[in-house]
Amino acid sequence: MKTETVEHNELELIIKSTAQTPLIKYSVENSKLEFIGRSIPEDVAGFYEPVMRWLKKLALTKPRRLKVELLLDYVNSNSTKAILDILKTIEKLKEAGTITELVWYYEEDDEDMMEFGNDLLYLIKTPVKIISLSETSFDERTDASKLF
Amino acid sequence: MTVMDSFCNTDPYTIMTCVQRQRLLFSFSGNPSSDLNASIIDHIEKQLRTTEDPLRVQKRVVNIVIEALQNMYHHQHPLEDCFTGDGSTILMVGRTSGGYIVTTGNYVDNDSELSLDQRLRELEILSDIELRERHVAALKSGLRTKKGAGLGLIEMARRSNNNIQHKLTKISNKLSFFSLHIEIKF
Repeated sequence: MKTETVEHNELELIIKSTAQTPLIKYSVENSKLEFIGRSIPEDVAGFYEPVMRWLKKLALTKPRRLKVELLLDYVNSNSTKAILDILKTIEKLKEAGTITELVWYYEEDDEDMMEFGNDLLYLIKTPVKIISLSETSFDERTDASKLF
Repeated sequence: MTVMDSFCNTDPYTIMTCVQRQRLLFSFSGNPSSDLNASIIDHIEKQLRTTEDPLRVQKRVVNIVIEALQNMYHHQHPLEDCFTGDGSTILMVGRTSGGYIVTTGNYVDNDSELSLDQRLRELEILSDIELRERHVAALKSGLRTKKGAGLGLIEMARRSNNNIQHKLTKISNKLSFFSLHIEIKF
């Protein structure tokens, strides 16, 4: 059986943000996968397919740790399902021994996004840290994501 | 008198005063596309940001507009004899003293009318907690179809605390006009 090997530098991932899609970035140096911006594309499956493919590649390297940060201001209903699928795939990494940490950031006063983070807690087994950010901090990080 | 005659005979000032009286922030009629949806969302979001209204309300309005536009985008129905081309839809966003109103309308097949009506009637009687449970259950079950999962309807109902009304007007043996009236209270 042919085993696919993945070089570390092949794991760098940057999907630039658009008006409808978030920045998705993985840094090998800090083993951190970030989703920043908004996820409201019409073709959700088409947008997230490369991310799912990339996650399979990451799984082959059996990473020691993985931190996932989600900082999203708007998520459409179909993206909710796609993000959930991604988090379930990350759970499989955890089951295979990867130390995983999930962080869900929301803008303070945005009760719906806080509730969304709490809904994730019901839906996946991995604990999710839910952190409130001030409007300024939230905007700074989402604005910075547009530079990519 | 045709619709066009009626349109041509209407004084723009009459339309303008009507728009102002109704505190209409935005209205659109035509065919949704990906680029157009992005522009509409951006425009409405920027308009709301200029208000002093609570962030929670502003975001709920934008979220509902996102779901409504995408719902119409995926379910637009070709209309052969419509001058605006295929799948005419309408979207309006207005502000009242109590909150915001989002109104949408699009043509649907009479075949899908029944399931749409049934799904909305089922949602209408749910409390906020029951809606949340329904949403989480739908996500857990992996409910999804090519054109969406009805998740959009649940999402809109949740974001409006179930202040959502629908109406189906039969147009012909093939078509009905599906209207949604969603209220987002302060």
